[in-house]
Amino acid sequence: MRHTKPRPPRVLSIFPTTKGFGYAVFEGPGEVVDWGVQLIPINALHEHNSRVSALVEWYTPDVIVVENYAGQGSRRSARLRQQIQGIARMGRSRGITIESYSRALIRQCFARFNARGKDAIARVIAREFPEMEPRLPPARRPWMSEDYRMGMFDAAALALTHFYISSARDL
Amino acid sequence: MSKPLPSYLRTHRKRSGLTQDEVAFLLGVRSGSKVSRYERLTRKPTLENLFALQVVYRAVPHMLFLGIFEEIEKTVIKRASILAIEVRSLHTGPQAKRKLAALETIVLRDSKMRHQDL
Repeated sequence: MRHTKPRPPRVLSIFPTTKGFGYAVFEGPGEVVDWGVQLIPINALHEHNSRVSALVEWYTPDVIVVENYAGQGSRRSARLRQQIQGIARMGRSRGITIESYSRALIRQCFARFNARGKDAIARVIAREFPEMEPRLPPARRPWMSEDYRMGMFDAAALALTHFYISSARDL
Repeated sequence: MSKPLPSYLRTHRKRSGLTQDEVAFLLGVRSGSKVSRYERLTRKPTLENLFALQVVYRAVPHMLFLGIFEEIEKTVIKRASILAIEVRSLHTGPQAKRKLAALETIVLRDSKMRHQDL
């Protein structure tokens, strides 16, 4: 059926990691359209930019969401900060709204689900979006490095934080 | 507010958990690369494959390609309005009446859909 109600904004969130980046695309807070991780060799900034660009061109998002690395709780390296800045710059050059949220704000939004850390937040997301559940990494132990798949859940957490904050703003 | 994407094939496939090669097998095509081309719209599925996709994803074709469908629908409704004006001004009789009824159903679909959504 033709959708004549106003469509919800399409949000693309990107979470650069040491192995590439995680991403998630939402059409409204209840509908995840795409999610995944792109593995990119370290320091291949050109490749990183080209893959992000390809996502933006295909999904034509209304909003791009990235992490606010200057915010409380962020411990991002200079390289990852550079990548986040690059994503924001690229989005603005295409007239796309850029929003950013700190880790502290993400934790605050997910606190209502009793989810405090990354693993717990990822589990909440997997429960709300069962299609993402097969990609959920096992709970991280202290001696383990972060699983690369966590990037897509970090990206999803950013997007959902955006919807939560936006709806609070609109009230 | 966003327009719908031209294709939601990738979304449906990822929700199903199937790989491109597995969908290719279900469609009876040689490889996952063809499914990839359908998803990226570098190739259009045949009518048979379109119906096979409907079966695989349990979604009607126009929802699989919603963005494309809405553009086509807009164009056809516009043409129907033009044709209705022509039929009204040039033709009379029962045949013309039937044509107008058919054309007005197409045109009114647009405003009826808007009304239903309110």
